[in-house]
Amino acid sequence: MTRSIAGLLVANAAFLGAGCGVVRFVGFRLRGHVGVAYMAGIASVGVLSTLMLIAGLALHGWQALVLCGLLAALGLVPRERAETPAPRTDWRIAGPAAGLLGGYLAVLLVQCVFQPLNSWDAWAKWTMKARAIVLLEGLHTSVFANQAYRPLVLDYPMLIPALEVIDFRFMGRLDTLVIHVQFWLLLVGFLLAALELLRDRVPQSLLWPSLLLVGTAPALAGNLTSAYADAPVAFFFSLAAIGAWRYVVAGERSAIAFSGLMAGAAVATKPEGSPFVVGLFVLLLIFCRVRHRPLLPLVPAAAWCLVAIVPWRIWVSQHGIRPSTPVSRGFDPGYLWGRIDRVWPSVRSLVEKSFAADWLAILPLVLAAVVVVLVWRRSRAAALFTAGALAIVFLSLLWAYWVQRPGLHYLLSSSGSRTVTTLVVVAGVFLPIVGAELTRSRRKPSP
Amino acid sequence: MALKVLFFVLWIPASIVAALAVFRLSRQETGALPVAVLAAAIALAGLVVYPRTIKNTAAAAHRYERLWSANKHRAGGPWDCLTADLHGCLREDVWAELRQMIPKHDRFYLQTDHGLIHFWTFTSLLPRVAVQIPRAADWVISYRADPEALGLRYSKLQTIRHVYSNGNGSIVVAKVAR
Repeated sequence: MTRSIAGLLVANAAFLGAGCGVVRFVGFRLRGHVGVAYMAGIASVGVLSTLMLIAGLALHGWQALVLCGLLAALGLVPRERAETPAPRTDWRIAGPAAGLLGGYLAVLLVQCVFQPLNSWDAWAKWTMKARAIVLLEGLHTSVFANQAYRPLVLDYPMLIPALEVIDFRFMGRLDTLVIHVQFWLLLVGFLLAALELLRDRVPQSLLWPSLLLVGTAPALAGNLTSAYADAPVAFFFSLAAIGAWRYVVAGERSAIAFSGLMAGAAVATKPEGSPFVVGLFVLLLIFCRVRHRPLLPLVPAAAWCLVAIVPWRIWVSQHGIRPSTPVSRGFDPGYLWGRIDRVWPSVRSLVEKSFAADWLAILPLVLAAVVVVLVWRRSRAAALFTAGALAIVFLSLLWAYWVQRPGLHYLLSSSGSRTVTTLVVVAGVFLPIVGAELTRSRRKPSP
Repeated sequence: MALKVLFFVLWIPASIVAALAVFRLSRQETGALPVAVLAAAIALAGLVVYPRTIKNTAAAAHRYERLWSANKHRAGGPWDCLTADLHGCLREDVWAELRQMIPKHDRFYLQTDHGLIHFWTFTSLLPRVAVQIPRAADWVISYRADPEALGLRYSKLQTIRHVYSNGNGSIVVAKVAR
């Protein structure tokens, strides 16, 4: 076990090294952006390792190291890097919040070290794919294009299995217990990155309690330790949304580049990542037009998202793998009308699951804050952006339940509680952003 | 037990006090009452269930550590517990035996409608791969099914018993005659 943990930590150190290069390349300073760098490393290595699999590589340790080395070398490219002065930490709030969060994360780490792979989709699908890549030395068609393995949802994007393959290579064995630590590291990286991206824009008295609330939500821990892709896609998309918001309010090019990196990782993690990200770009376009932000920086971000998914879709199509979500029929009015009876139960289930007690009232709090800001405050941008991001996630999930083939009851009972993870995590990280608007002056009374 | 109950009962006023402290600090930081109210509400929502969250996480960690420790020295080999409640564990030795019998590059046909065994065999037998048509297989693996019903000739048939940790279930593995 010690060897597995050491191997996993070496792999993640390589991801961090890669991320340091990437974030320096896109214009961040490393000081105060370790979490941003780690998540950027995970995202870029994840996307590029999927492409390496498609190209016929088996993601051996040396291949991963070369990839991380190349990405780390990007940091040597001379660039102008803006200094974002971080406000002084108020330890009266940060100390207890960080202490409570750290204590909880320490206990969760112990759970992740010993957690058996006892979630059905993890051992039967996600981690099974990583095992297959390791044991068959790549994306072998005898499994990945074999109709016998169709229940493994062979069309799902491969970022999580690819990262697990790199972890297994560095562990030197297929340790299905310690692999959970990768998900724990993703949670820590996400919380740190969210802190680094928000601390200069929101009050600390909102930021720290919000991170504590999101980080310790029992439902998030349940999703995380299942080793499914729902928590990772939630982390990637939430950070993409924060980066997009920073670009809207401050016009920082580094923020939109980071947002693009995270959005690419979201589409390469789970199929629902694609509608989330398409919606986010639509939202960005609208806000950029209103706020007169240049649209050009959105182009490389969108291009990266296409790189993250199009080659995989081509591979899937070339190998005759039937898509698990009939995307083309999802826009056919006749098909949708014929399944209209699926809409209301899906809406009800999504609302029930996202308002469940295990999510600690995150969604009600953010919705209340959005309503208060919209009604009473002069500045509505943050509230509208948050409402837009939440609507995108909700409608994407609703659409997915509407068009998918399996019976609705089975779908909702097997996945309803975890697919709302993105909805609630986005709500959690936008809670301090919307709350910060309450500090601004009230709307002038109409004459 | 009484101390535990007392702790959980006392934690509620303690978290209210902590939320009030957040309210005051937020008021000092921002000077805005609505922000302070929101900050206190967020803090309260996170704090009020914090001990329960820690307790449940620690209990899960302890349960999994016990399973891991027991697996290291278990007579009859380790178990693979594939469900969240850790019930219905499978004996790892059954699939080790299958891996020993079936050469690495042979193909197998899985004859069962039992989902857990179906997917676990897929996972555990890698790099041996499954096929969709029995005739294309070198081996047939049957669980709660009769391999003779497939209409193939077999050169060898073997039953592996005690698939589940409670002793239930048996798998029939048959080598297809060529």
